[in-house]
Amino acid sequence: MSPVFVLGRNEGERLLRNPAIWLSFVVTLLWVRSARRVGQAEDQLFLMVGYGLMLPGFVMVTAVLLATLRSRLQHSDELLGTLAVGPDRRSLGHVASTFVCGAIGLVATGAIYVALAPSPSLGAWEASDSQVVIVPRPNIAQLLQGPMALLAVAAFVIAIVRWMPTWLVLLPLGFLVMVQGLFGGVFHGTPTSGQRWIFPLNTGVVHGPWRGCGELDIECDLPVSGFDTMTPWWHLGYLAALIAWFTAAAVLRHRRDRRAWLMFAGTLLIVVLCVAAQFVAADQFVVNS
Amino acid sequence: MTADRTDTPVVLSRLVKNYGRTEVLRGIDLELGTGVIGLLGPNGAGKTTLLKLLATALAPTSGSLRVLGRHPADPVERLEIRRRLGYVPQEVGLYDNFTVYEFVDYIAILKEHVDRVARRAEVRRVLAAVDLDDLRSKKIRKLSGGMRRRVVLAQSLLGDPQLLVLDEPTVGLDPEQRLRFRQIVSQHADRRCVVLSTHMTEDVEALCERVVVMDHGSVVFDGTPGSLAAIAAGKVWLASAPDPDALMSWRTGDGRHRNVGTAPDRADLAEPTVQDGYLVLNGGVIVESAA
Repeated sequence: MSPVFVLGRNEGERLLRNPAIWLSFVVTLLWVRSARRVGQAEDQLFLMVGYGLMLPGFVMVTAVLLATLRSRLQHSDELLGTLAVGPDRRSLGHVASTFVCGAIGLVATGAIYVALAPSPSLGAWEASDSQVVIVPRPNIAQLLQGPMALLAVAAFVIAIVRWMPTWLVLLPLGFLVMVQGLFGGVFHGTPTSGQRWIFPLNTGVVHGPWRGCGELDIECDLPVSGFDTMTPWWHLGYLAALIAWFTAAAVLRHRRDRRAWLMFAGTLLIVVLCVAAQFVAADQFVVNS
Repeated sequence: MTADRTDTPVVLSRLVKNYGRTEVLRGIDLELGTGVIGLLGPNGAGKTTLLKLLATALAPTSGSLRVLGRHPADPVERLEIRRRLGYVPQEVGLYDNFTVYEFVDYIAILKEHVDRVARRAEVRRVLAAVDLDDLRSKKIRKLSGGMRRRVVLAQSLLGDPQLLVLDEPTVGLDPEQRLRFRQIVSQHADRRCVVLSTHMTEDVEALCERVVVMDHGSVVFDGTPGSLAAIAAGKVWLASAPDPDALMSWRTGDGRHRNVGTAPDRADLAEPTVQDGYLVLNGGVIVESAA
């Protein structure tokens, strides 16, 4: 058995014993309870495509961050630097431990799905003052988006901690949450559809274009023109590629041999290809007649 | 495994280590065989830097270093050294939120002890060796300084390493624990190499078959504890008063003054110790434990 796997299991078990992670699901629980009411189609969609995991995910990722920073914060780098499993394999172990986070996310998404018991249509959503749309039930790719995004963000945090082993890592992490919340969440219509798929979470809602936003218009409106159910499949591949790329970046901090560079370059190429595929596949908004 | 891998665990040749423009080790030549080798020297002599080099925590600036017959500069050989190494750094942070068992178990994983059952047995063995088995469920943040030091010692014994590098391991240990430490190290040193840096000359006297004294990054003495003590032969006197010309003078438990240096009036010649020899060698530079 590989030391990386054993280390991953050890760190993963530590995550499972962390009460903060389980406590953070209270908010998700309350959201699910509220979303079960009739007419909450938007909330139901958000919960199932991964937004229900945002707070627990943030707690889990913070726990992973602290575990990765542990040797630096507790001044044990000198001792750990003389052990057979070096920082490169420790990074892999931390990434392996995040699969526990992914598993928790998967179970939580399954529980949300069962609790909401969605029919093929989640119901009507008042998307704007003048538009009501029917929200379709998310497909498997959309349901898997939350756990996969959690893994990708955790791998991102491990990589960034390896290159910036201080509390300053909270800045890019906070920025990521902010960007996701602003552009991927409430105001998910702001960038064009293709760009939105760069963020870890995507509702699949296709917006646009803005209408009635001239100086003389009474109301400014961003209508929904559809739901993208194909791009989420590409998005899963994109998130998987991100996990591999961030992992390679973390390893590269301490091991710069040919294999590490090849891994980094290869996974980066796959990420770029997945981004391109998402741009091509993403449903663009259509002008409502 | 070649002959030198077993016969001479550590070979240093013209070893130099600089920190910036400061030369910390100045062309050291040493061969360390099996047994316990004591490393003495004043603060700043370069002992800790030398131990860090042996533990592969640092790379030399120039010169040659072979540890267990391997070159630490080569990544593959460095890994092989680390698989056979136990290290107690001078200062190490432990994970306060871990229990004693969890911490040693974690280090065991990082030492590639992957089989859960075998690892559990090994962790229990080293905890028992340092008398921490009863405290294995205790959080590290609740341990005293001496207990924490024993945890660090326990992790160094994992896997029965061929080379044990100990940087001031007895700091904070009570007398009973120091005796226990001597027992552990002397048992371990059988057919293995233990390099022990300490300010406790009593530990050197009790444990080491060879002592190396360093000063200003160079080796100034290399021999047995007896030959180090012999440097002070005829220079240690017991008198009723301190001698102002002595290298060092202190009042002993029986009320007489032990003077290291020339003979004061009405003084009795005393048997020199390693500490006396060390004092004479360093021209009166104090060893912390002698104060």
